[in-house]
Amino acid sequence: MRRSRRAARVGLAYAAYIPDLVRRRPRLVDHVEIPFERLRTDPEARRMLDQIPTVMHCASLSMAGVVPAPEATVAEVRGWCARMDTPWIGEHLAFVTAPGPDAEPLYVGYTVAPPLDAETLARVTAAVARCQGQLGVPLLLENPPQYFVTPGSTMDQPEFLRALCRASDVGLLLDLSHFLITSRNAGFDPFQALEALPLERVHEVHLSGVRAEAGIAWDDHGVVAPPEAFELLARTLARAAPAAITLEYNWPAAFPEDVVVAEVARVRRIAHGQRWRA
Amino acid sequence: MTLDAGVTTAVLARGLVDRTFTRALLRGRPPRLTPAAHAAAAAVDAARLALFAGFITKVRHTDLFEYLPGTLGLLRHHGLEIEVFRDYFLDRDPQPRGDTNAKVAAVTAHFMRFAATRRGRTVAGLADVLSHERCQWEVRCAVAQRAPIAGAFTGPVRIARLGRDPYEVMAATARGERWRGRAAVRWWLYWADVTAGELRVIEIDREVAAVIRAILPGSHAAGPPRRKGRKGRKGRKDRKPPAARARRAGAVALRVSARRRAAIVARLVEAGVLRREGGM
Repeated sequence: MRRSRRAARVGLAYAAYIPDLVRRRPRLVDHVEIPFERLRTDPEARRMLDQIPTVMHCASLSMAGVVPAPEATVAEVRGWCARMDTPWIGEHLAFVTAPGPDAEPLYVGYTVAPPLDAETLARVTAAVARCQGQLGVPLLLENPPQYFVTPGSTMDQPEFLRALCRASDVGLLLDLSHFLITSRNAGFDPFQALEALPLERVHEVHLSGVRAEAGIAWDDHGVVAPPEAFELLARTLARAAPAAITLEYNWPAAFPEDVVVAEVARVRRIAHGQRWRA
Repeated sequence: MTLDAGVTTAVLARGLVDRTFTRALLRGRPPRLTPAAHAAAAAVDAARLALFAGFITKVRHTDLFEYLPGTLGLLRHHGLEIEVFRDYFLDRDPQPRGDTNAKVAAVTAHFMRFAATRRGRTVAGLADVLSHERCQWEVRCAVAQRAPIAGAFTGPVRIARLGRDPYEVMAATARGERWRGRAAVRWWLYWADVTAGELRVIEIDREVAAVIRAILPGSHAAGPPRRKGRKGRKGRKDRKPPAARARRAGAVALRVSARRRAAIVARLVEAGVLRREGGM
């Protein structure tokens, strides 16, 4: 029997209902993941920093984009990292800005999966090296959901993630729901593909809902994660030891409390069940 | 031609932000672009890109879940939510300036237009649930903005003529079912009881609706958009008198006797909806 290892911390992604939930149930979760973008505008989110351990999530650095994030934005992210004492920053393997038809960059306002090719790999690797030095905390990159094959891609997402981990020392934020969505939309077996991922580089795991519409699988943070996502979680934990698992049920302002409590318990059971392996 | 990843990101970003560009991609006629951008645009699945733009628009409107839960739930149940938001992105500026109220107004107007389309009419009860939720939102807005109270009412009021019970439709959706009841015109009163601090939704009959409409200045009545009258045989338009057409359509073209009106007003006063001295 292997030695036990510490079970991953279990947390929730910040939403309007989280502060009150944490106040009434202080032991429900171990951490709250807060987006940098929310810290800028939401005083309740900022108050959480004094109430519970927090982890930073970010969607502003455009790691896979041609247009780098403004220096002021990077500085602001660095400042919040220090205030939060976050163990890492979870950013997206995506772009949020791109060159516009005139001189001004276009801001999409949402993370977009990039073409998966050697050019993007080089760009992301360089961005990781630059940001790690600037931010002062480890950077994790989160796999985005792919809703269509991005033109120019020469690799699929699992292959790209493997290549990225060979080319840099970046950690991974493995979003298992995004992985499931990509597998459905791209037509590969997520369980097989999971086995080929460098799971030892996974420091955090995300789970959220998935919804099908118009023949495409979509991300949905308004419903609970599907059974396959929990099965992927169990298989991930059988091979790796991420430090944190975060449930992203954070699009609605309110989420049924009994459901949230049950989901956290479910994740804890899976996480604890993988501590001992014959 | 090998696609340039940076140029491809620029084309994707433009397709997600610039609806004119997106529409051009959907038509297969992108505007004048560099050869590299043209190659990327030709390789994009424009239909999926437009749906992604709809998805992003939907996510940007998650705050509307609070105001239109039944409507959005219905669209979701029928697998139309992202498509409707895609059309909203393509047809209108999806980021109206102003506060949440401006957003709700713009989106409900778009949903109402969709509800009147052939596709929208396949979602039984959509227009009724939307009218129901819009009336509640309008009354709450009027209270929040301390709008002048119309006529002799004690609080902001709306009335709606609905073809289906919105609660039954929403309950069926919550059970994962499609509503299959019989359509029957009903009237609903939405009234802010400012004394109790509550919004009351009360089903009323045609006579009460007629009396309330007579008291209400301007148009405070809502309801699903009416279909245009069909032409009768030989392509002639319906030539019945307007009042009879209205009665047949269930509109409130109703004569209420003075005695009956007085009784209704008394009931409304007793219920607190009307001020004691303000009834007709």
